Amino acid sequence: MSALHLRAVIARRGIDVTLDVAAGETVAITGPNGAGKSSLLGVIAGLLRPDDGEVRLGDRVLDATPPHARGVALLAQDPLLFPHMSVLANVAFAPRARGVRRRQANELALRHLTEVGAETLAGRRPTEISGGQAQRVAVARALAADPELLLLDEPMASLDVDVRPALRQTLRTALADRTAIIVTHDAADARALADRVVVIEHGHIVEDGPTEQVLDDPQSGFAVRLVSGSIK
Amino acid sequence: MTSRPGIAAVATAAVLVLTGCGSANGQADERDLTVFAAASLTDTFTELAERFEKEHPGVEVTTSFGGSSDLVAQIEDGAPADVFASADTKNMGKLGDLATDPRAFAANTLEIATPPGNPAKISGFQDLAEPGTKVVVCTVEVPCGNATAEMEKLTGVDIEPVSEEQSVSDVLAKVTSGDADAGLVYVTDVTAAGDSVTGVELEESGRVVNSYPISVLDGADDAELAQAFVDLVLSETGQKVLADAGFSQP
Amino acid sequence: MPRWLWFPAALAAAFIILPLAAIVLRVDPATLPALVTSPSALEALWLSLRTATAGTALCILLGVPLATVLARTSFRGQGLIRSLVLLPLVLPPVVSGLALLYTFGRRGLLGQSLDLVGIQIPFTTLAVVIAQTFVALPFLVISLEGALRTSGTRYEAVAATLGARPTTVFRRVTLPLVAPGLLSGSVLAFARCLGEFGATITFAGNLPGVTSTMPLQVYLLRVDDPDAAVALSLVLVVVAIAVIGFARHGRAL
Repeated sequence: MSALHLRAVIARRGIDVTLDVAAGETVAITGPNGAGKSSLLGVIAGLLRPDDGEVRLGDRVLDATPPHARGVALLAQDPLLFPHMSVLANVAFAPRARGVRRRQANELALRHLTEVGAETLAGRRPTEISGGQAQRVAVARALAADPELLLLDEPMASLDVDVRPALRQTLRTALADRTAIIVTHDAADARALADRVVVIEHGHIVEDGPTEQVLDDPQSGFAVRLVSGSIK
Repeated sequence: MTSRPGIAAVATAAVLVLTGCGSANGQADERDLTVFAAASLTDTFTELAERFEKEHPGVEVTTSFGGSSDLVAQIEDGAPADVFASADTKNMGKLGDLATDPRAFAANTLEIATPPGNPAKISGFQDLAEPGTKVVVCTVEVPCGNATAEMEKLTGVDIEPVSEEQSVSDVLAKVTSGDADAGLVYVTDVTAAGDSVTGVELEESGRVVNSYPISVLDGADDAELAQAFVDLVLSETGQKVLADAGFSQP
Repeated sequence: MPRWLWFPAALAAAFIILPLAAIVLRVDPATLPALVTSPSALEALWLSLRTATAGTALCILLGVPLATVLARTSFRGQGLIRSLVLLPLVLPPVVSGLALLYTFGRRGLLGQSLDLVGIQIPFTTLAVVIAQTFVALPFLVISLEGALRTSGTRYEAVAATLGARPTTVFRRVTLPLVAPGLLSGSVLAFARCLGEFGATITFAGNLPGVTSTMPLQVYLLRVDDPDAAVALSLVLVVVAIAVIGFARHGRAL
């Protein structure tokens, strides 16, 4: 696990953010739609080039590093399982990509599937499983990449309310000792998963503190609304 | 509902345009004559058609040039031709009774066409059989190919062509572009091609002579007018035009 | 839909179907087997299949990278390149043949240099393959580029964050995702290769067993031996129907 240092300026979107995440820490980023949360994840993952800034993971400066070599896995709102592969092959994708032999990769994949409680789905096609199951598999696939940093972009937003607690529990276990950033609009997610909450409005950090503190005594306008439950 | 007459008008207009039904041939003293002639006659028959129009005011001659076998097929399928001039007797023969009175009016012999300056230094028919020489001929189905095959048989020279083209003009195209070292075409084609090819005359050319027959066709709209055109071709004037283009006497 | 559309629609369908029926009706079932299996017909068919297969392979080899670059990048002049690449689609094949002759011919742009090292392309089977590839390539590029744009880049981004190098992503994610588009594009390209006439006769010439493909044979035989021409045409029609059926099926997958 490595610490993250991020500074990102995207002039067009009015984004100017500096953020540090300690090794093993999970930070929840929240804020109104369009505040630039997903863009920040894009910058960290290397999918989006900032106008100015720096991404440092551990002692590596990643600015010129292509996405595949960053050690940063991204779990999006949609599970985006590769439709032409079985569930097992999806999870085995990352190990195979870093050169692990097929048999070992499959064993590893099965272990991660078990970790998220989806081992019985191994032989299915992504089209044959439910949205909640698919997101579990996506978690397993991201974990199988053994990332130094895990990014989660509203991983539960597209799921039915009744399957969220189960996935939340899965993520709680998975994120326990990991450096991770989770973008969420759900106070319950933040409370369950994050050590720290960061609120972004109009491209800037307006509140930053331990989860308990931010959620129990919100200062920013968005945090107040989040806690009062007026945001869904 | 208003659109229906509109559609009908468009359709009628399209048919009129496509069939060439204009108001022009409404005048009583205008007469049409359609002449189908082998592609090798393009220049000469265009000139003769112009002369014919001048001598017969009010007559419009439409010419259609193509491979003799193509034209025969079109005539058999009912193309509205009044006169047909073929590059060989074989194709004229296919028409049978459709050709009322075939008469030979010209003859043509083979000649070698090479790219300008004759870069491969072809000097005679024998050279065409040299390995590595790229020779293009007409396919045996068309008259010039038939003549080529006959020449090979008579001289015992066995040409291995790189391509068997569908017409004389296809052969010439491959020669003028420089991709073929030589092509076998008619004397008149070499004449007509001017500077774009260099001709190499064949000593043996007299051994295979293609006779060109012409005939009024059964079913000609105006048989008298059609015969008048045939007569022009056979006349001294017609023969001079043909001789200038390189044709020999039948 | 207004009911009267049925009439012109039926007319349009008949306009396509009737000529095809006419050629089928023109076939003499008694002589068909002999005509289709005659040595010259088999020679032409074999040549056609060989060249069309090679042409399609070349289309895939060249078309997949081109379609990917067109779909996944943007650079100055890209629109122009795309238009030019699609040109053979609408160009008269004879013009394509002339263009190839002035490129690969003995005195052509590249042909002159090739000639110096002893490579001569016109009048060879390779020339047939080049002509076919030239006219068929746009079919593959256009269908594949469409498929690539539809499939989007989200899966590729995920694959990259999972640690897969660009080549691995291309091989294991991009290509499998557009496989149906690639398949139908290849089938269309194959059909176009098989039917190529104008560019072939202009650029490659006509020699049995070397450059005389099925369409050239049909053209040659149509006057002197119409029965044989019709028989060969029927073979081409049957192959075309099979190809269309296959392409539609592939799209539905």
